[in-house]
Amino acid sequence: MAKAKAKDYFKELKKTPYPLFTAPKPYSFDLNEDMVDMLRAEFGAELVADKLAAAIKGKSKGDVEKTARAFFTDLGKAWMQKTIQLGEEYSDRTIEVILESVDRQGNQFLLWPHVPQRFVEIAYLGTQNFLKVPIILNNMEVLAYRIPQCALFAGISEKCSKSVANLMTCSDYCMTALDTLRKHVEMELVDEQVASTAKDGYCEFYVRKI
Amino acid sequence: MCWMCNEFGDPEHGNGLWYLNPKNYARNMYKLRAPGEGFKGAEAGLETGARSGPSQMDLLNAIENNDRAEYDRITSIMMARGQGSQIVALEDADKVLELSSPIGLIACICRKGIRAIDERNEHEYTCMGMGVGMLKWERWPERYKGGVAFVNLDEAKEWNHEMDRRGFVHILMLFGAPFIGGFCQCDYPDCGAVRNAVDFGLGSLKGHHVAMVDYDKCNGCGICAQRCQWGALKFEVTTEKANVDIFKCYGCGLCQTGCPRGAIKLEPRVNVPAVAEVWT
Repeated sequence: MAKAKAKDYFKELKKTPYPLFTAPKPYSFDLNEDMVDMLRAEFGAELVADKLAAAIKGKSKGDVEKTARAFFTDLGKAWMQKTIQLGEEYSDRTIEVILESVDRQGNQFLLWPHVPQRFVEIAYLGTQNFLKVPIILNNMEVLAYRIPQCALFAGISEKCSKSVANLMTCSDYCMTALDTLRKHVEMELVDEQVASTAKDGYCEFYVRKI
Repeated sequence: MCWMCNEFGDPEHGNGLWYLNPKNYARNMYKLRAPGEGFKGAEAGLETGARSGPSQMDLLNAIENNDRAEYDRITSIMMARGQGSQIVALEDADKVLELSSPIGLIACICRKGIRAIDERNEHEYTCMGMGVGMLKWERWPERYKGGVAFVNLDEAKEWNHEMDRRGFVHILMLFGAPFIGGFCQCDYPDCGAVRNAVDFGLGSLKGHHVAMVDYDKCNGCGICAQRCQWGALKFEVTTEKANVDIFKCYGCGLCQTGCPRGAIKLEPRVNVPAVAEVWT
């Protein structure tokens, strides 16, 4: 029986180029930039200020506040709903680590405060001009954040008037958004605004876990 | 009060103790990057972070060269950058854990360097990473070879008590003042913080307590002296009791938690005039 000829592996290798190693896509711990842009395209502070100016145009002085509050209540809900939709659609490794952390009893113990915190950060990073949300507290009891130099307040001052901005009807925007978030995460939370741009120069919100 | 309390404490929380101010544990999870901005500091890699300023080696060189001006220059930069740490007794350690989320059990970076020990599983972890930065630990796989075990509050407290029982000192670590991002479980000579403090008087601030022996209760068993990492406790041959050198005491409380007769109490440092302002 003829002896099988040993395969010349080196010759074979020379025939086919050595496959280049392609690293798997590395984890991204940052927010997806497209997601942030999409949110900004729909709820950017300047855009919202323009919409408010159109909504209150021609209204009597007495009706302006009422109209603005109704406007912000509706839009605040839509803003957070869009944030939640995009936030869940565009995942990142940071939120994956939170969701994967399970204690010995099988509880996802990092959901509070970090899941609400993520949505809050997406919501404001996608609409304001700062590069990070000043988080004041994030512990087992409270999530609190500050909005310095609010772009929406500035937009309302410019597009409507300073007096309209000082009515702080935009508080309804943020508070309705927080309320929408509270319902979505199904946690027993209490939302509170403790400072306002008109009075304090910045807005500050506390979300407390009951 | 230490300078950290003056700078970062809040009288409404924890009697003004900086590490009981919940704001010092808060941080954003995300940030947007300005166009063209890349990763900086520790985000760019552990080596980049470590090399971004003077190190403790530079300090040691200054001491060796007897160069006081260089020593002062380096310490002022370190203070300005918020590098720092403070010893915390077990009682306060439990309160600290209540203020932070998430908490991840991790291996000790000092022991990796000193002992060339790589952790293989969570039984070899000693330290705790705290705050949202820990969610991104996979950025530094070379640092966390054995991974990170996230724990809930009860598990974290249980862990801390076990570390105390084993004889580790609890040291809070700043990661850019005033943010507290680490809670180390240290011993001499493994840990940089304890070693620098004991051997060179550098680094860690002493805790807000000082150990005091109740001589009526002390039977001279010497357990406290075995647990002291600072060389502050010794067995007095003449009295056959334990004795604390309050100038060496860092207020870690290991002697108190280890004393089987409850003969050691922790006195607030401010109540002991001789060491009320002795922090290093």
